[in-house]
Amino acid sequence: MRKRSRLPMFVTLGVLLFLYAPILVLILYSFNDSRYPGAWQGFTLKWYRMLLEANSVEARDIWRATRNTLVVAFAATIISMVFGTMAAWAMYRFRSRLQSLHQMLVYAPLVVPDILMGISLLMLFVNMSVNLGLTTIVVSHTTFCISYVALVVLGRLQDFDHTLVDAARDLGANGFAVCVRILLPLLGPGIAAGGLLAFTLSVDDFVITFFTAGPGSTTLPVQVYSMMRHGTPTLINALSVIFIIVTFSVVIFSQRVLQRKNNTHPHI
Amino acid sequence: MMAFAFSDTDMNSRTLRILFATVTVSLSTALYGLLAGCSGGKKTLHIYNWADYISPDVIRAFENEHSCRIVYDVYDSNEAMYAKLLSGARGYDIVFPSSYQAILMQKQGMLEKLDHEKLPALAHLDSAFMQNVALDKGAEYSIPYLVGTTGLAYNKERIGEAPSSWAALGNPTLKGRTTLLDDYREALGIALLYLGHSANSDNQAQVEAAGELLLEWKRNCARMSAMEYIPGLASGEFHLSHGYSSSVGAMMSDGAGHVDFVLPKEGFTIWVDSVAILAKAPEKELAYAFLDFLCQPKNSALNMEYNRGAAPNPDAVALLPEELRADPVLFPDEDTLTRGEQLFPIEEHTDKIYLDVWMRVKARQ
Repeated sequence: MRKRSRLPMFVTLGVLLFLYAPILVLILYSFNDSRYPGAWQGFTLKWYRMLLEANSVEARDIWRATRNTLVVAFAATIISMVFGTMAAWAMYRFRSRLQSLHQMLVYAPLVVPDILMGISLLMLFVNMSVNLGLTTIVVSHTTFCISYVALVVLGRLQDFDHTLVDAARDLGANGFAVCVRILLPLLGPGIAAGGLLAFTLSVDDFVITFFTAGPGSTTLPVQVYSMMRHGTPTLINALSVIFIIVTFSVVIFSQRVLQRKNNTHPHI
Repeated sequence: MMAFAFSDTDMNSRTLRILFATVTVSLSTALYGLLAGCSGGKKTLHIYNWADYISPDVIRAFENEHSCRIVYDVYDSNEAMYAKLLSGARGYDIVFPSSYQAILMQKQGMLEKLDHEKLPALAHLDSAFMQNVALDKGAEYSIPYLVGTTGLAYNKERIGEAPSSWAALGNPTLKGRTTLLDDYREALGIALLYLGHSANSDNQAQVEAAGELLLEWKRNCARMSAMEYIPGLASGEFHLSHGYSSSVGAMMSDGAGHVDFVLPKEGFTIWVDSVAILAKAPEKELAYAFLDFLCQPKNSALNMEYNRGAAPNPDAVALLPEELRADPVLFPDEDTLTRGEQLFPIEEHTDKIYLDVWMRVKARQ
């Protein structure tokens, strides 16, 4: 028997190391007894204590930023899933002269530089005398998230067999039934994928958020970036470790659930 | 147009209603978050500042004394803060610009003219400093918060003798082990000083020459960095860094015993961070109380200790522990200070020269 090459294994290990070594270093340094990363000063749990201590001045801004980030991300995701799907359906279904304008409007946020969007949204809000806060961040995030959802759902619609809708209509389904029993189940994975993408982008966004945030609505990326430049990055390490634990738990949990589902419905 | 699309495919109004209900629910989620951020009836002071630039003890004490809440939002550069406020963002009460930025903001009418009646603690400020160093000499619009220098931080174990000149940045034995601050005024400033000019020179030839020199130093250095030099110095990756006295001082006090800080013989720059009330501040009375609170010696001392910057407040300095008062990084002696030069706001056309030269330095290898 021919000996199998070991190369793929090494490549895999190398890639895994490349991906996870920074995270391991981050976890390690969250236990470092120093305000600065880089020099190991001994083991401590003080950053975790500081973070988890109720209402401590050091940590409350970070928790506020975390809560802001999550509120914004969930709201922007849900709204953009609805509007993005509607936009994709309109682009798929209707061809008119206005459609090219619509497409341009949907694609624009993908190519417009963040800084331009941030500043112009800020000016818009200021001219409308809207108070800056979480609502303005949600509106701004929704603006660019819609484009991503629309694109993903549109991709899904390209494979969509429209005769299914005709067949359903033929059998007496009204618009609502077609939407709920044909369209949504078939587009579901696309909408969900778009929503996940929107969620990630919203949690990640720095530039647009910076300009559209108001007093008290600083989000985590803005907070973390400023703390890296000026402040106590080690506290951020501890927060990241908590996040990593939560994220991995969610991933493991959802895989368990999916596996169980897959066993009952092999083609979900 | 979208509503059209749906009626066209006979999606009845129920579908639309469900969709819009979802939107409403999520909007109210956002609103809830907004409301949850407000405290029950307590006044809230909104501070817009560099991250972590006020001692948590001072914030706690002020909140207790005035039974209010402080909400602290952050920015990472003077320019970003300025751009945002200039565009009309409101709701912040207090802001902490560098002194030259404060002058610019004052000219734009963004700052409140300070009513000294409400700031009795201003009496603690050093009058000599206000006369000779402060840009806003009468503290009309801004008050100096913390002062520091920009010099060379070096690894004592790797570089035996303290570098006395900026020329050390061009030392080939340190190739790949040095860093320069990624700030055009600071970086060009030290090159100008090394060449024997003013760090605020408005002479094009001088600035160009400084750019050439900087390019030479840049080829020797590992990177132009805004903040990464601090962990790099702590871990021993970098041996010589152009850096701020406050960051380096805080690092040295926090276990990086192998690092020291020197102010080169050709001169160095002095920075002054100030604090001001915004003209559109919603809580002016509370903002005045906070400004006064910052100038009170006890609180000023806490901030000095926390940030390793010097406040021009002799009564506060007197409260500091002995080893801090003797710390040459925090308080350089008089002789040394005469070599220091503060960065001033410069004319627009001069600024353009600086930026052009800076772009060339950044772009070329």
